[in-house]
Amino acid sequence: MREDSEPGRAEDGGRQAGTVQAAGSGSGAGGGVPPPRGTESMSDIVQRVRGLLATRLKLAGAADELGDETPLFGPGGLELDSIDALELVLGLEKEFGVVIEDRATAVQVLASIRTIAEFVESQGKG
Amino acid sequence: MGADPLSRLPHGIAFRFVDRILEVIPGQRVVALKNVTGDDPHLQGHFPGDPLMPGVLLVEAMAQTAGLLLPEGSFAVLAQIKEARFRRPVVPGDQVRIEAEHRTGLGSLHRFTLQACVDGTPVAEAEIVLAITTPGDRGS
Repeated sequence: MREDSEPGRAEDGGRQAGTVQAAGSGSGAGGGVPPPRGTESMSDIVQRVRGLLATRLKLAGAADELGDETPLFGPGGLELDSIDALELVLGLEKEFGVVIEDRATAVQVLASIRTIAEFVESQGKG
Repeated sequence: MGADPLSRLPHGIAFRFVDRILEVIPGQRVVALKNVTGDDPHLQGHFPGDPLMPGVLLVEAMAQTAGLLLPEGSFAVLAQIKEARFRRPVVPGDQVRIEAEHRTGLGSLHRFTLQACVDGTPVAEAEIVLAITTPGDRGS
C-alpha cells in the first residue's frame, strides 16, 4: 500500500530539496535534471501541501516521511480525524485560496497529499 | 426577536453563561454579554474571599456564544479548543462582551473565532470547534 520505493524516504539524511523534487516527479528520475515545466509546478504544490501538514497538524518531521499516496485518513495511513480535516480545509484556504465546501468534497480531496495537490492545481491556484 | 433568543441554547439555566445577545448576523457573527456577579455559586469557591471567574468557564461562555450561530435546534458539544489565552482576571462587576465569528464548517463540525472583552480590553480569546450531535449520543 505504501510507496516505500519513493526515493525521498531513504533515511540518509538527504531529505532536503532533492527529496521533495523526487517525490513530486513520481518515479524519481534522479537529481540534477530539471523536470518538465508542468511537473515542476506540481512538485512545488506537493511541497507546500507537505509543509501545510507539518505546520497545521503539528506533524513536523513525520510529514517529510509521508508518501504522496499515503492515505491521510483511515487505517493504513496517518489516521487523521474530522477535526484534522477541518484544520486542513482552513489551511488550504489560507495557503492556496481554494475552498472546500462540503464533507463529500473533503473526503475526496483530502485522501492523500497527491489528491490535495491535484485539487489545488485543478483550481488553478498553484 | 420574540421569545428569549437564548432559549435556543440547549443548556439549562444552571449552566448558562450567556446573559444577553447584543447583535447577531445569523450563521456568521454574534456578540453576547455575560455579567459576572458575586452571587455566581462557582465564584464562592473560586476563590473564597478572592472571587475570580474561572478560565474554563470563560471558555464555556465563549462556546455557548458560538453555539448561538448554529442552526436553530442544534445540539452541539465542544470538539476542540485552540489558542486559548486568558489575558486579564475577570471579577465580579465585570461585564464580559463576547464576540463569536463563524470561520468554517465541515459536516457536523463548525469552527469559530472568539474574543472576550471587558470595557473594551481583551480578557480572553480562543478558537473553538463545536460538533453538532444528537442528545444522549455519547459515542465517539
